[in-house]
Amino acid sequence: MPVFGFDPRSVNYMEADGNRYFLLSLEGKAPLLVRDECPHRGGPLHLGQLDVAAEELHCPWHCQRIALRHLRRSAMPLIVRRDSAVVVLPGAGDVPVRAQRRVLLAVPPAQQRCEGN
Amino acid sequence: MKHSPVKSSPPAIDLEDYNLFRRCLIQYGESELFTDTEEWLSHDNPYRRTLRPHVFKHLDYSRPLRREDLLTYNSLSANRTLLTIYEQDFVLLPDRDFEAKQTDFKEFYSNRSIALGAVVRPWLERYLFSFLDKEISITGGWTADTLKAYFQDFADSLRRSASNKAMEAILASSNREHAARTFLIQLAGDFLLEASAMGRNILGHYGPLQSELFKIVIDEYGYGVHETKHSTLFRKVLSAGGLAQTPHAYWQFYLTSSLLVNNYYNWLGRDHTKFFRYLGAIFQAETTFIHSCARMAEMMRAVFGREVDVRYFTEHVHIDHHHSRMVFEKLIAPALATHGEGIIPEILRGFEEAALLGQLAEQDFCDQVSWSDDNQALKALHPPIHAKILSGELQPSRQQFIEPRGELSVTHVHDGDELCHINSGVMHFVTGHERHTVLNAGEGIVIRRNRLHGAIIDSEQCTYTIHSIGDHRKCLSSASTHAL
Repeated sequence: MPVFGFDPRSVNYMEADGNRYFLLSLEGKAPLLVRDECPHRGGPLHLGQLDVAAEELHCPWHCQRIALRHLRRSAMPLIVRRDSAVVVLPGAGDVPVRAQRRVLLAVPPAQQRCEGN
Repeated sequence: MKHSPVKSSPPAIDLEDYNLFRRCLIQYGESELFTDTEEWLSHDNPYRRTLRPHVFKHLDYSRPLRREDLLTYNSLSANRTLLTIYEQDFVLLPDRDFEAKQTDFKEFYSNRSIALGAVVRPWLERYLFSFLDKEISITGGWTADTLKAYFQDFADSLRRSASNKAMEAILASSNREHAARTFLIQLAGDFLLEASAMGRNILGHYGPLQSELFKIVIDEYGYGVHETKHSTLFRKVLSAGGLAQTPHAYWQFYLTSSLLVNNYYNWLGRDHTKFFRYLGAIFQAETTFIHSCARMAEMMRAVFGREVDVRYFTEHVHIDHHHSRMVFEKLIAPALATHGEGIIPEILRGFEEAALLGQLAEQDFCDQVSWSDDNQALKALHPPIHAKILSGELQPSRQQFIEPRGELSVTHVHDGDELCHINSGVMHFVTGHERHTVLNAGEGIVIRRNRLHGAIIDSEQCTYTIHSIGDHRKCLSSASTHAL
């Protein structure tokens, strides 16, 4: 399994072994590294909208609602310190990890609700 | 008939009452054992340790310490007091002259002191260690496999990296012997009582894990052969460095962070809800120690000569290979199998906290070495800053002291930079064991924030002024503030 260290101040998105992940930071809560693919059709969840009150993330493609508790349960094993973080990702140990900083829309206080489903 | 517990109202003792804690702390300090001393070293008396208790009434422990404030005076005082409370659980006897120290012995273990310490301890623990919750977060679906991969990666990274900042600081110091002794003094606080904190987890009933932990303790205690006990080996290292070998001889020269690390392991060992956290912490310590002990042995030989006795360190290079493996394979893995993967966050928390505290202590030590080395340069900063004070350009708050020959200021730290100015007489400004800068009338020195120091008067009388200058660099800049 790849053990990947990064600086959470400059990295919030990564790809490894065909999977995408992003750092989900909720106010007053410990950050999570979660899968970026919506379970519905694989939409980029980092571009979704957070509904903090409803504890949901809405996928930008079809407004699929994903419960935060589901994201919490399926989050990658992650340790975050003040200026460094480490995550253990699935896959072979030598899998290359591509880390980036991206614009995340799935951040508080963006709480606009999607219309429709 | 089932009886449900009924809460007493009002409670017999409200342990959450800050004022109760404060009163108990002040009363705890009301002992001859803890008052200021006229000597730098404690001579074979493990019960006497200055806590500067006259200051207790001015200290605020109501809010937890922030990481930025870890090296402040409040923290130093809390750490000195907490270690004293912890060590009242251990059997400490002097090497000789017990009869002359019997009163201290009885006082140290008195019901009065133990009972007061029991109220004070949880407050100081909360004060000192709560910051760790904010510094480290552990999330996601950790499993036995991901934990193993992470720990394996950590062990591999240590094998790849040979650097050790503390050893580099010693070898680069302008006084390598002093820097090395300062380092050994930091270790002595823990190593002369080695594995006592670990021993707190030996009693009880918890299946095969208990027997596995016991095997590690047996190694630490040299299988009952006193000559091979690790603390005995460490005494030989101290002897090689020309240092006293009795516990806490150098109490005044422990850095805040060294006390904090020592207290951390006692905290985990004493609070059994943190048993799994303790396993993570000792895995971190045992694994790191394999490599750091190799560097320490090299440093000792480089500073004190090839013939120096470094068996303490070489023993750990060898045995901690086993201990690291034993902690993972015989303690952590079976604990996961028996108690479930839900304990992983606690194991990881212990691992991460131990690593963080180790880094903080290493940096604190390096900064203290620089501080001691830079004293002449800091003395040279006195004239320009003092000139600005005299001209009125700087107007810091000040305190004047008049002290007789031999008056010793117990080591302490300040929370901001200070300028010490000698009005008359002579002061020996102390920055470590047997290291000082002479300050004559008209001279002075910048005292850096958080840096451990003390002083002793070397004239019939000395009058000196302490100016609270905040940040000495700002004082030196042309646009310095007027009222500080």
